[in-house]
Amino acid sequence: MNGPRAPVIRAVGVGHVFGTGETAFTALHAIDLDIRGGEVLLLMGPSGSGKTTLLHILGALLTPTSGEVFLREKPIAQLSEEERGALRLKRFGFIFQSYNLFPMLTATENVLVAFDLARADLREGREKARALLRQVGLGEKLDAFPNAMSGGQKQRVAIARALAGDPEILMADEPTAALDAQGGLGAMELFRRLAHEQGRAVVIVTHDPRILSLADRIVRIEDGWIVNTPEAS
Amino acid sequence: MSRDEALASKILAARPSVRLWRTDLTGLIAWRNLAHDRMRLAVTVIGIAFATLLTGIQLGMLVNFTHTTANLVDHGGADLWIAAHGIKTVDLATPLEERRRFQALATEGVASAEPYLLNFGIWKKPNGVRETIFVVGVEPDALMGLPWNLVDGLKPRDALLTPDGVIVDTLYAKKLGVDRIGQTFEINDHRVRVVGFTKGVRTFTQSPYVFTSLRKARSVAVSLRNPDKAITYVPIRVAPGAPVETVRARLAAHMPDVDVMTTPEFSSRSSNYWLFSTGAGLTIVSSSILALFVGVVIAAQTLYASTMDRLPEYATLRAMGGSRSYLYRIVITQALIGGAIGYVFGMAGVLTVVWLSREASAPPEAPLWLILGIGGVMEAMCVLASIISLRKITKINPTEVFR
Ligand SMILES: Nc1ncnc2c1ncn2[C@@H]1O[C@H](COP(=O)(O)OP(=O)(O)OP(=O)(O)O)[C@@H](O)[C@H]1O
Ligand SMILES: [Mg+2]
Repeated sequence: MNGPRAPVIRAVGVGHVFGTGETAFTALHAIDLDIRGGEVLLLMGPSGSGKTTLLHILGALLTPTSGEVFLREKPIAQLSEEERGALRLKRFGFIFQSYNLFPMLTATENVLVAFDLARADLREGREKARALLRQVGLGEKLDAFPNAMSGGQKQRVAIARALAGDPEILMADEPTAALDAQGGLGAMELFRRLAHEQGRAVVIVTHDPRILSLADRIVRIEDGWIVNTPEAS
Repeated sequence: MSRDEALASKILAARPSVRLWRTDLTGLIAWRNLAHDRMRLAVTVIGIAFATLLTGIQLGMLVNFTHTTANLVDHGGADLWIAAHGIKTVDLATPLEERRRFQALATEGVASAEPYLLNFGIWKKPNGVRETIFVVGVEPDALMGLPWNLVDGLKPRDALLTPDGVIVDTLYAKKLGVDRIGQTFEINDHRVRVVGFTKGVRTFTQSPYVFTSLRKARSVAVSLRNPDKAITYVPIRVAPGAPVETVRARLAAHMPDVDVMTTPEFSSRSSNYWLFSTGAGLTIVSSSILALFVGVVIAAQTLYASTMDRLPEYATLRAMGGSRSYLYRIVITQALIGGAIGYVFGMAGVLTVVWLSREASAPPEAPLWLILGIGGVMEAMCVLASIISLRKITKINPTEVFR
């Protein structure tokens, strides 16, 4: 059952209500969704439809108010905050729209922080960080500071940082929104490689129509409901 | 190997090694945060340095005060002192009946009890200018109450045996117009001659102590009612092996209408009078606390601003699964480093002031315990200053930052 095509993450009837009483707002209804390794999945939909909320729940950042999320068949929705933190550290990599790199740390050091959080050996971590930066095409910028990098380069540092824990699942919220067309396509190329060559599950929330054709699967959300899940060609 | 097996071996390999201490990057991040914003670092350092400087100098003065206010008592070499009832401080001496000395001598456990006269006097320089002084009179062969730290001139006993001989301190030589041994002056219109110098016999009131024989002190004590029998204190040494406290109790029981104090008691009563009854101590302590407070507020402000700047990055670390304690360590280390730099500059200033004023009559003192203590207090204050930043970090919710 745990073969490569078995879902890494399975969401079953996941719903989320923000607030209580009069101000309660249902951001997600009953979402059923499988996420598999080796594929790039796009979460699309209008603004306010619940994409980010779903990504947070799938990424163990947020606890759903109903339903269950399984990571490799293990329920994770009701784990404590610390347990979810430990899980994220080991199994997930996140790339946020604003890259949130430390401006006073070099590219290598920014990636090294991720190894440090996992209490890895720092000498080995430094070598691994450099290898990851080379892998995302930043071999020239190992010791550069973020303010000396383009948006696309900063994002690659963020991707390298997300890869530090060798995560099964990579999650990105609007990764191409701040990039030009070329940068956006380049990032998608990288995500595809990470999925197809390394077997990771890549989940991307996006509004960006330019990258539609590069997805393996697209999930559309409207008003907190999944509308349809066509397989991309 | 399937992905799962690979994962399993990875998790096994990543099991934390059994090490008690692991150097992590929090120190580097803290340091770079500080170095990244030079302006803010400068403000922090100046704030802490000033707090250190002000606190250091003021407490240094306080230390000096506690030493000088009780100088005569601390260096008197007595175990016990008899003084007039209600004596406030050693300098404000009031007359004591001479029989107290004989009563003391008749008390079991007392080895010696000597006459001691401390009185105001007017010192007249050759040019006619007058200075208020304290005349200290003891017997030439006294065991207690003698001048100390003699640097020039006759030995105490010979000096006090010299008719009209007085000993003054080099710190006040200029004030008293003395530039060499053998010069003559007048105290209360009686001729005296400088026969010796001490160095560092400081006075809190700025009226110098002038040591002379009991006989001379009595002869110049024109303001007292019965000058040829006048004493103000009876310093006492207890017999070897006799417990000081027991002898004190015995003396107090014999003489209920005078104060019998141990040297530490008389010493602290003397300094407490100046420090607390006059408000001088309260002023110093409260302005030190104020200086500390200002330093803490400045440090807290800059640290908070810096933490706010880094909030998205800190939130990212939380989202990645980093612990709160990792972030706490960054902030606290940042506070400690900023505090330490400020402290080093401030303490350098304190030590410079101490060194420059070493010849002054009331120089601040910087004993090691004070130097280290202020460092400890400053670092503690910096940790305190990081509390609002730590609160902010506790409340970081990654899902709110990345909406
Ligand atoms: N903390 C919250 N409290 C109340 N309502 C919230 C909260 N977070 C999100 N919402 C609401 O839930 C809905 C879904 O939000 P979400 O951020 O998931 O949308 P989205 O699809 O990511 O939108 P966008 O494309 O603009 O990023 C929105 O209507 C939003 O206003
Ligand atoms: Mg969103």
